[in-house]
Amino acid sequence: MDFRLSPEERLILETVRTFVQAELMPLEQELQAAELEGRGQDYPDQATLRGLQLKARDLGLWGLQTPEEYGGVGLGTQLTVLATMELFRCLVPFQFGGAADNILFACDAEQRKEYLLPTIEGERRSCFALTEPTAGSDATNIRMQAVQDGTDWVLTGEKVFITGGNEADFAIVFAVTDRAKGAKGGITAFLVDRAMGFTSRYIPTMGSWGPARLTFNGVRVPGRNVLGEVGKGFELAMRWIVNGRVIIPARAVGRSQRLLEMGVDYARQRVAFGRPIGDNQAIQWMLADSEVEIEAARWLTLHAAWLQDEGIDNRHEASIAKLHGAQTANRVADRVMQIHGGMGYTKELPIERVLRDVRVFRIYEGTDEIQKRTIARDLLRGTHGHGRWE
Amino acid sequence: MHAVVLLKRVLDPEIPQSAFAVDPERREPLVPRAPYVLSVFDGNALEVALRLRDALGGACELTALSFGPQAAEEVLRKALALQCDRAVLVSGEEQGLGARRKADILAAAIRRLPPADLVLLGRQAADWEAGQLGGMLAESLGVPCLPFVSEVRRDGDAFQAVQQLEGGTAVYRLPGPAVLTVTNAGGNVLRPARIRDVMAARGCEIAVLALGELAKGDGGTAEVETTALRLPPPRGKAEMIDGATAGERARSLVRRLGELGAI
Repeated sequence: MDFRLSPEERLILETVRTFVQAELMPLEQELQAAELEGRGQDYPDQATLRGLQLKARDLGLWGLQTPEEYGGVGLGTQLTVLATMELFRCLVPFQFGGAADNILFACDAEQRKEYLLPTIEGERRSCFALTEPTAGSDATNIRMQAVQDGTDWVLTGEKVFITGGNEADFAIVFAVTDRAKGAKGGITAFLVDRAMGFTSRYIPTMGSWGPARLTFNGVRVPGRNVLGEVGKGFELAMRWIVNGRVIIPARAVGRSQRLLEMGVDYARQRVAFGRPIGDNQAIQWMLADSEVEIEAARWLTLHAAWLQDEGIDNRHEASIAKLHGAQTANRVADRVMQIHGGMGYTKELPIERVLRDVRVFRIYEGTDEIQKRTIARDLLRGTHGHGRWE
Repeated sequence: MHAVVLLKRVLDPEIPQSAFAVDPERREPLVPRAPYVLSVFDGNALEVALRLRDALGGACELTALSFGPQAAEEVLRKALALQCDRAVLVSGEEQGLGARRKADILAAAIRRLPPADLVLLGRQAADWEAGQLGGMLAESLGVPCLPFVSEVRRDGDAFQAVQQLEGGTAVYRLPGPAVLTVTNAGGNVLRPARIRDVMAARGCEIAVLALGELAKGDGGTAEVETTALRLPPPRGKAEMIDGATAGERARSLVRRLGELGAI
């Protein structure tokens, strides 16, 4: 077993780090100023983000998971996860360009031109629309209906908590095409342009994640806009979700790492009762617990990513990584705020914002409880839990 | 034209002081669990060479040359990812050798390459900071040496080099071949490698020259000997200025400087 990175992997991460350090870190102060003025939500604006993405593109940081034939660099999951950890050390919200939802690669030749390629180029924006007001964790129970009318399909229903749903100009919508079959052959994915008639409404949240509610009132979608095959939508949805279950803990690790660094710095600097607060065991334990949990989250995530690259079913390990990563970020944010005392609670420092932001890690793309359900079911079914390595 | 850039792998100079120690008996640093990195001025030298090649529209062959253990290949991998045409490792332990011997060995390695118009290296390595290799290498090669260069341009069939001086710059015209030691100025920080180039360089070969092939005899030259090595004793008393915000800390600092009679 070799835990070392190859020289190439180190170089790639060095390039990511250089970009983050040179281009993103300097924006943190402005973000904080914007936050103080109550406009942190809109910082940085779309034009700035686009400019940064194009700068990153010059370095080849474009489409990390996008295959080379589509202009990406096809880094694989492990390196994408490592790059994400590096990127999320910076508190400025940013994502590299050149990416498309993994399931858009299921597009046929025509759809590729109309949806996949423009999304990769950043000319079009997609959103993944599965969750509904009455079907979140139990996504098999979605109700959005798609009724065939000639060669068209007519979609009626509502989607909620759709990330990027306000900005998207098309949605990947999952709808029931055969109620009797349910998730086993009765759900279909559609590519639906905003121009076809769906509407969106912003949902304010406690963090900077601003999802949308999408409403479909008899939206007519041409038959050629079915993504993949009719009845095979649920499999696509799961493929999208499993990928997220490796990326979210990577984000959590990056954020937690940065917060811990802030905590360590403050514990060294802040003097109370005549000595640095880091001399106190109460503070030391908070730092040590955070370090242990972050390291565990890092390796759980890398292992789940490695399985994905090897083409081995990683749903069990991805659930473990997502559960532990999300919880770690929340515990670390809480401890680091505690270490900072009153200062940590103010908007002078970014800790309170991170604390609000990481809360959703435990909710979206599978709540803690759903991950635990997956893990426990695998144990009870006997498919996992033998401590076996591949 | 052909330029050779010398790249040295050094212990990361950014590691915290608390992680660094020396062995006074063996008179060398204790190797901590710290990453090795490319010596920073060598990075500037490589950047200067890359800019020269960019300005020539690519009409400049670049060879990256390193002397060190097998693991020093990593700095050469970086050079290949930055699209150097050739990478050569002189494989052997260079720690403990004096600058004179190193210069002879590297000169022997350079003579095995296609004739070089320029040899570039950092003005000093980030580990021992001796700053002697450039001059000695020029002597071994029998060519002139121009130190503290920050920029090079092609000027007809010669070169124009900008040298950094205390408070100013000098511009030289030199025909080559020559050795240039490079300093950090004019934003000549080594560029990051493009991801695609990193991937493309994955399979590139690194030529290895065994130290034994290049070092004939002991060179018969006197070397500087390290007789003692120790870390500097902690200096005086350090005081931390406390305060929750930058403004608060600034006020405390000014007040404290006043108390000390410094302002």
